[in-house]
Amino acid sequence: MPEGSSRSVLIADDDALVRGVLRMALTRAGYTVVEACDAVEVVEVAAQHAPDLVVLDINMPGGTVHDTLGSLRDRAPDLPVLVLSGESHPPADLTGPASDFARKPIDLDDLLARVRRLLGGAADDA
Amino acid sequence: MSEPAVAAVTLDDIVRALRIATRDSPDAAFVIDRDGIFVMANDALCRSLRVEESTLIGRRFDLSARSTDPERILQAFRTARAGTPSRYRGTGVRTTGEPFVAEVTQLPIRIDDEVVAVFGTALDLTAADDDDAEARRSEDLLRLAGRIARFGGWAVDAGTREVSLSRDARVMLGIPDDVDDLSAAAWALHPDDQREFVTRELERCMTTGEPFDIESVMLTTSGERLSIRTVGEAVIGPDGAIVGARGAICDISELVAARDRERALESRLSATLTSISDGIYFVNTDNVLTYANPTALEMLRFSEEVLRTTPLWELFPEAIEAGYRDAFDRATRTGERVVHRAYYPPFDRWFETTAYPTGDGLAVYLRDVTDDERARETARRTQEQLAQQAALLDSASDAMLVRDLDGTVRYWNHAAAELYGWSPEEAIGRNVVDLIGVDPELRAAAVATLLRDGVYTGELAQRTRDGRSIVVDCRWQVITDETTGAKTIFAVNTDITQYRTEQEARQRAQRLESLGTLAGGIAHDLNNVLTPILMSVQLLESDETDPDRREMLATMESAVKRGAEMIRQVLSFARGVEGRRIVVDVDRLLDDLVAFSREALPRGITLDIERTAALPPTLGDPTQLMQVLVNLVTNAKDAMGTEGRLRISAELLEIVDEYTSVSHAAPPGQYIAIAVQDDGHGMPAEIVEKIFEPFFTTKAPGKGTGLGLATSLAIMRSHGGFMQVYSEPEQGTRFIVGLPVSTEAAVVDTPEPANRSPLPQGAGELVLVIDDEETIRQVASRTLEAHGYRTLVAANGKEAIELIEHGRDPVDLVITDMMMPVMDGAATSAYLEEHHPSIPIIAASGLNSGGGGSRSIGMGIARFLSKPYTTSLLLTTVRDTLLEHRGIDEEGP
Repeated sequence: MPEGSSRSVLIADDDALVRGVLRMALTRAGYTVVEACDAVEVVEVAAQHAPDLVVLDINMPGGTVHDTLGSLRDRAPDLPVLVLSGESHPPADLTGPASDFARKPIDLDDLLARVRRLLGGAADDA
Repeated sequence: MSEPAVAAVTLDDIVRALRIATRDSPDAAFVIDRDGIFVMANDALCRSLRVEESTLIGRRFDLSARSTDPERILQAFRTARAGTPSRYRGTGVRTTGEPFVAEVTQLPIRIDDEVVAVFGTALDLTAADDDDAEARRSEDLLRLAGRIARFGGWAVDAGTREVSLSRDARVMLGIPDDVDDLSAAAWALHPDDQREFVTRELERCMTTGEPFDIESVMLTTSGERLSIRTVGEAVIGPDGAIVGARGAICDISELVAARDRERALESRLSATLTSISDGIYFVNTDNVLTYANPTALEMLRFSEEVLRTTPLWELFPEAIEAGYRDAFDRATRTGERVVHRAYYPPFDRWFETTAYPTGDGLAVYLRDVTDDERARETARRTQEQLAQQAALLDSASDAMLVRDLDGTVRYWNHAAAELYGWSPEEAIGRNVVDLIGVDPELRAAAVATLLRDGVYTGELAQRTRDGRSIVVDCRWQVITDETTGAKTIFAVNTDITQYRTEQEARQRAQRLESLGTLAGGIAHDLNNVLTPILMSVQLLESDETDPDRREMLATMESAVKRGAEMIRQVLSFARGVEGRRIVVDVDRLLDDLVAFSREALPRGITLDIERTAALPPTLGDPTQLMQVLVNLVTNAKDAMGTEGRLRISAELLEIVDEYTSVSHAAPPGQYIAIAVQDDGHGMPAEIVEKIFEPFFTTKAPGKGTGLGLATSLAIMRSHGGFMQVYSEPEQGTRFIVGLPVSTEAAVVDTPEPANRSPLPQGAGELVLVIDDEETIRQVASRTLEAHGYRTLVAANGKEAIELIEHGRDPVDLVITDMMMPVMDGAATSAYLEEHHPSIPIIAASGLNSGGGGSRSIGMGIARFLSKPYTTSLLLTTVRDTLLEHRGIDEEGP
């Protein structure tokens, strides 16, 4: 049985190829995937689908990552958000708001490990 | 017939004649009778004795002459009275008390062969120093006196008009004793025009009784022309009527001749003096003007009357201060010509006086030299200005030189000497190209522009005496001499070598900056590009069972990861490097570097270490600093090959001024400078120029990423330090990194256990060290192995899991870095916690205690180890973790 089972993940990245491969990886792992391609859409989609986890690209059109994180947490304060960053070091002021970071290019195992960990607590509760 | 009038001359006649003859003489003259009583004294004598003539007349001459030796002069007088001329030199004292020296000559005066009186002359020798000259004058006077002594007597009867003459008179006139008609003969001796005049005077005398004193010309019987002075007076008969006239004649021919000569001379002199444009005046010994030509009068600005009556220094008191009086006095004192030139303020003019001493004062040649002086002043000022300009040119900081069109140096200022190293003496006369020229073609082009346009501005490479290459900013100008038309080149050259170097350094820094920005942007996008590739490959890999295809996918994966690693380095170059800022023991850092070098270098490379004992600490990230140093040693090794000499040195360096390094300008302060120097193949300047640029590498493709030095530079910058390189082809390369000395107290992050307690030892436990930095892996594993542990190393979580899952021996402990490119510490911990909960994990991180670090604790992470860690901290933490874990295991079910 796929590890993701009933869990849903919102993938937010403006790069369609990145979204595509993330969708493939997470779907294979058994997660339900919804997508958003900019900072505005991600908040709307999150509101609409109430995902269990958001995988959020750090740099998207439509708004800053801080604003996006703020909007997401306004609705769901405990929503885990995995921020994807191309930088070696994520900005220091994101270490609090973001639940975790994954560095691009994303390693499949690394990604899945982080996703699992972030959803782990919630899975136990379920 | 009445008693004929006395036909002989009387003493009175002679005295009268002598008084006339000596009146203007500069020398003293006197007549004394046979009793030694003064009967005449001329002006010169009175002046000399400072008395009036009236006081002298009637007094004994020997008592009045103020001689200090009256006996002597009496003796001389007696000799003369006896008929023999006498002369002596004697001394005396004037009434004013001044002493004087005089030469006195006394001559007998005879009437009909009888000495009736003595005629004397006295030469004042007090001021004289030329006896001969005075003696000559004295001779002249004697001769004159001799002539004066030729007196003759005459008488005319009023009734008969008959003339009688004394024997002396007849001898004088050459009338024979036996002449028939003496009257006719006598009158015949008068030329017609003279006869009338003499007759008239004679008739008047006999008519009115008034005496007469005339000069006339007479011709002797032998035809000689004589100047005769005739004095006469009326002879009164017993009845009171005038019965005739009598008198004396005196031959004054020589006197007249002398007087004529003098007059002619005087008139000629006067004409000359009057006509010349310069001023001439005479002053007497009292400094009163006796003569001034018109020019002098004009220049002196006083009326002649005032000038002739008032002493000079009363009229011109300011001239005393101007030094004229001293000059005049010196001329008088020394008898030498004295020239004096000075400014005379009341007239606002400059005068030059040339004072010539004369017998009785000074002749002064006076010139108005104001124009001359002003011209001189102007010239002097011009000279001064030129000197000032020259000084200005010399004090200028720019090199200034003047050279001919053929390049011959004509002028070379101080700054030029400083800049080029050639002194003006060495440079002037030599060809400028030989001295400082570098590129003849460029220079020729510059000169061509200069000659075409008259000016040239631009930059030129030049060289100094010691062969140094410099860059100068040139401002050249052609200067044409107004008079000769000759052309020269005036060049002002400013040394801009330093400016150019700094500018190039700035440009390099800017280029690095923009390269970084560009690379950073591209890198960021590249990560997005690599993400789908990497993940797709991995997705495919997980499904693939065919070994060949799996291998291909693995190749793709590792290639993508290598690209990702390069991007990571580019990003750290572009965005800067984050790291810890703790007090770093530089000595320890160097110990580690030396240890690494000994292991990493081939046997053929000698390692020299030169260290200043006990270097101060710096603030930074020891891991990153180690990375920089290891990178430098690795580069050096590659430059040398299998043989060579590597020198590692460290010292304190004080940077006083802004320090321009190739890559970074360090602010003033204290630095620890660590140098790594090899004697390998070195690099030419154009390569040195670029070595800090990302992706620039001299290594063969695939052998280097071209990011090592770029990253090193980024690390040094983030530490507030600097990095410099010196390299010469075939000579070697020297890199210097400068770390600012920490002003903070050397507080280490975690206090180390005291040195005396022995370091905890392991018992063969297997420790897996996971870190993406090779240095860290090496140092940690060596340390652990040295203290009783066995080790495994992995560059990332993935490699680590591979080792744990497929390794031969079970791993007892994992030490993992938190920040790794592929499967970082958190992910690794999460995996281990899930699959191998029995393996304790120590998380090592260079990040300050941020959310990431603290959040990790508890996710299977037993302990947190702050990077960089010291040996004892590492060993203590490992031991404690193992002990604790064993305890849990033992306590467990």
